[in-house]
Amino acid sequence: MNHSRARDLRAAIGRLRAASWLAIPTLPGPTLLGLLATTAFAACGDMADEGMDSGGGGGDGVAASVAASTGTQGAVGSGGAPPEEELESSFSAPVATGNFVWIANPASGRVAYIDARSLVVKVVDAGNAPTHLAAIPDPVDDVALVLNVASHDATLLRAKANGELTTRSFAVPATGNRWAVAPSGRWAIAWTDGREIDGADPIDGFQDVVVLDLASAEGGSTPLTVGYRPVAIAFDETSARAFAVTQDGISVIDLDGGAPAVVENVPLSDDPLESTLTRDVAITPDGELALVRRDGDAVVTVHSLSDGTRTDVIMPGPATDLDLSADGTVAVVVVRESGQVALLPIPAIAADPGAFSTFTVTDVVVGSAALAPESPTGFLYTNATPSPVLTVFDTSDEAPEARSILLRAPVSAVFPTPDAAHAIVLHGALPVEGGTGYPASVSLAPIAAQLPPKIIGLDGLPVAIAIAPAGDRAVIAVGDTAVGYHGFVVAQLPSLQADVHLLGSRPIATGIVSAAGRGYVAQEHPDGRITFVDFATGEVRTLTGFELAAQVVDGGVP
Amino acid sequence: MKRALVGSRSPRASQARVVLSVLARTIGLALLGFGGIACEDDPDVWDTSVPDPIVARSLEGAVALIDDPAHRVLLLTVDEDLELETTSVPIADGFAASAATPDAQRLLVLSRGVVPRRRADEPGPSLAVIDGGTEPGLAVTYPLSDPLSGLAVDPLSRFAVIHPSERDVAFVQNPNELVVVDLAPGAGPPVPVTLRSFGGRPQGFVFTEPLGLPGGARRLLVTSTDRDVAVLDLENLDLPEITIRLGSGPEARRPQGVAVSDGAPDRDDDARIAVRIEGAPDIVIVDLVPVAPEDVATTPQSYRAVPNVVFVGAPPSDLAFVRTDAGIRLAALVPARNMLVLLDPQTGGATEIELGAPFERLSVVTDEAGEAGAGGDVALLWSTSNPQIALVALGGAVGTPYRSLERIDLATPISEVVAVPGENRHLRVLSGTAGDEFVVLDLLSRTAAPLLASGGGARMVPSFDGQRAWLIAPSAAAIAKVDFTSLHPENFPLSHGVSDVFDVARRGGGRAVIAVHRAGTGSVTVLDAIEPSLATAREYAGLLLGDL
Repeated sequence: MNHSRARDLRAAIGRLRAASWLAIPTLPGPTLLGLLATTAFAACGDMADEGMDSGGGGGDGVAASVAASTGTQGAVGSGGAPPEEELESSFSAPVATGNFVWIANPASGRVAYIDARSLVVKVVDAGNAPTHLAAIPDPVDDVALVLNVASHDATLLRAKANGELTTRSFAVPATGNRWAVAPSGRWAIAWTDGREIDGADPIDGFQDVVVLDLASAEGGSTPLTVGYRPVAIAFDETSARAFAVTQDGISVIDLDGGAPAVVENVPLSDDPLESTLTRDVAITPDGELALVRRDGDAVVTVHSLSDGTRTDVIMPGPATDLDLSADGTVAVVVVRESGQVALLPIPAIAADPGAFSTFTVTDVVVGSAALAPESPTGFLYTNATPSPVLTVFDTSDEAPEARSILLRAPVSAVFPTPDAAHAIVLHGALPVEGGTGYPASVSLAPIAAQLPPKIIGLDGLPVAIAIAPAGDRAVIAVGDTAVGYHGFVVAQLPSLQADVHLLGSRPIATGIVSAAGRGYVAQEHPDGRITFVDFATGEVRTLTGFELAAQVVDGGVP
Repeated sequence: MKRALVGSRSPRASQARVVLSVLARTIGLALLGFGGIACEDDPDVWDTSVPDPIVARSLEGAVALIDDPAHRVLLLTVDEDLELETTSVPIADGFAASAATPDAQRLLVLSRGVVPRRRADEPGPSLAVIDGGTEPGLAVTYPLSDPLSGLAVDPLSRFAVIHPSERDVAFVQNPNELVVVDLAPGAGPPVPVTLRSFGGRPQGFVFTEPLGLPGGARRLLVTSTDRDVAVLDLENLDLPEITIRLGSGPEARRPQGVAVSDGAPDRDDDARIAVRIEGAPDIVIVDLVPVAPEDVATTPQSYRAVPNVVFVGAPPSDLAFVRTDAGIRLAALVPARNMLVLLDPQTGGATEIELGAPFERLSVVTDEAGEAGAGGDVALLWSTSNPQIALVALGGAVGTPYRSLERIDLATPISEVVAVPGENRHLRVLSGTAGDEFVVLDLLSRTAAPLLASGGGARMVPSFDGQRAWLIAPSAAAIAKVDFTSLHPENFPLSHGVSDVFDVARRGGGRAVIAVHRAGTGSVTVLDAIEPSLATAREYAGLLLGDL
């Protein structure tokens, strides 16, 4: 493996990790709604990461996608297959709701929605240049929201069980490229992530956001102003407040009163000149606290989002990672220098900065943590130096006993299943003893059962990962334009069986629609392309040209 | 009303006098037929001219001469003594088109009738179905509501479609009106069908083999217009067709070729139609899959069509579904890239086979090449620009998607490949583009034997029994026989130039070859097809002057 590819992989994995925190789970379902809340909250402000993508991918469970692209030319197959046309894909990354996968086509002004059970494709007219999609939680219907960037509006698309589809329009006077959606499904905020805009002028602060009241009969739309260059927006679990993590601090948006309004800005530092690019921000699900880690700093600050007070928590050394548990009861801080891991009780740590416990991982370097959405199990590893060891511990235990699992290649990223019974571990370009011909690999690691992990070589770089909420399937999309390899791996758990499927073009996002028992991989293609895999039968079906499919006339009722 | 003379042709009455000297030399029923002149049931017919050229069709036991001016088809049969018998079958006025079914058992003759039809006793448009054995005759005539000129026949000889053509010039016409004819014994009358139109008009028809579809196996008619594809259920003509639009407005794309796959024999959800698009590097693969449960109430169909677009890098020139070790693939020839692309219809994934030369056409010849049990199909490739053919055995080898790729150099590019039926089905007759060179390709031994003709524009026609082929050329007053066993050519000079040659079954057994001459009023030469000899050949002239 050459150096540039290794660098690409590290960058991609960094984005995967960031994106997974902001994944959009399948809707509805109380468990999944909870997952939405926690994932949306867990780490909404990693300013050091680029390419954070809350709109792409989607589906059930944990899904992560990467917008990284080293070129626009796709290629087909593995046998020297023909390259795709040199066209940018017109279609944006899809999102999934309970039964449908939604894909916008900015060029045609239409949104295609695919029934993941039958794979029937239908299209609906949206506004001008529908581009950015979001799944909206709804207890009954499949609901998606699309931002029409040229007509400065948004279209709410509601598919009912009887097949009827209705649309509503909302004004969105400001530009945007991201959505943040409240767990209640009532509020959606359109905002602009400046990191996705190449060559953005420093004067462009992207401070305009638009709050949509999706329950309003009048199509309520409220433009607001937040701090400079927001990097994430999240809601509390009651959908009463939203928080915009910006370079000025956290802008608090009140949604519980009359019209939505920005009511407060909580600065994250006393030093207005402090670099904001190395912060790691986590907000608790109840919206009461924000925890901030800074690279090279031993102090983790805890900010009250209600009164603005700050508590400094002194770690035994520079903190290299900060993760918040899904239920918001504990924060995990890793100090790589000493191999120590601190467990901060939430919210007690705000009142007593010394009220945390630590334990030390010996003989193994750990610098990063990953937490499961529905389990107290935590995972420790490092990707700063080559290390094939994954360490597991219990966050609910004040003095946990760490268990190390030897993998067969250096760890790059860890994606636990929701119940932490298994972990999907990506291995990157770091050197493997004896050398390898694979540019990357993935391990399927049993955690609940102490069984040996299984490693699978990948013929390209991982692009996106999705894990089913039940934790029984994972889809890993792989794409390597340089060698013309595109494919995906379907991992079955707990059997650890892995089936590799080739794709006709470069994958851009993946997801799982549990109600349909299918996973999907969206790909770059001028006519739009998505591949579904049936988890029960293993059958793979690729749909290309969504709008063509919608033009089939069978003589039935339109 | 007397029919005026046309050009230099003479009315039949004067022509009859001219041929008397010829008739004096002929033997057989032509004289007897000529005796029919005396009958003069329709005296006006003698003022009509003999058609020039004469349209001739081959059937299993007869040759049909279309005598449009006399509103009839003259059927020629041969008995054991090479004597010719004629049977005259009336057809309506206004001959429009004719076609023999591929099994050579029936002849379809489409007539427009009298246009405009002002009197009730004037014949209207009709389709005559003529049995074509050694006892030929009219089987049935179907009256039609509209005078149409287009006729397409099912390769399996079960159905025919009558459709408007560019020759139809009615004041107002709906180009999407079709008439489907079921040729099965006891089938009902033709069924008119009007295709739903999005601005296009039918350009071509493909009759599928029986396809395993949700709701039961049945056959489909795939109609290509200039912008979409319509799929009609031939077993349920009351059902509306399914239209797959290939675009709209300026984005409309013109279908240029269709391939069909039934998929796995034991499945009813994997049949597919592939559509090649004019000038486009894309192929549209239409999956025919079950209707979703929630849509059952809103569609009259038992299956639905799901199109997918696949990309092959440049416009493909031909398509065929093939079997490989990895499953069914769509093979697309891409001559601009010297490639044969194998597409997985499920995933759109593609695998390429570098051919080293441009090939434009392909056909699957697995059974004929003796590799039915090999697990993958064998494809024969040829080209109108490159003097080569190739045989590609698909699947099997490590690292390649094919077991073997064999190229055979020829002296000339190939314009046409004709299959030889019967016991010699492992042979193909390849016609050079100039019409002066032919190749008999043996798919078993992989040999290519050339045959040279002295003049251009020659045609080589295999017999129905597959034992031999007959060659004719526009400039030659001769026919030649090539025995497929020895490949030995035998030349037989005849008295006149030959426009068609047909190898037919004789009454009482054996076979005869009938050479239809260009000149005259319906003259033919009859020879024994198996042991041809000029010594036993019989010439007949003035055939179209008889049986009137």
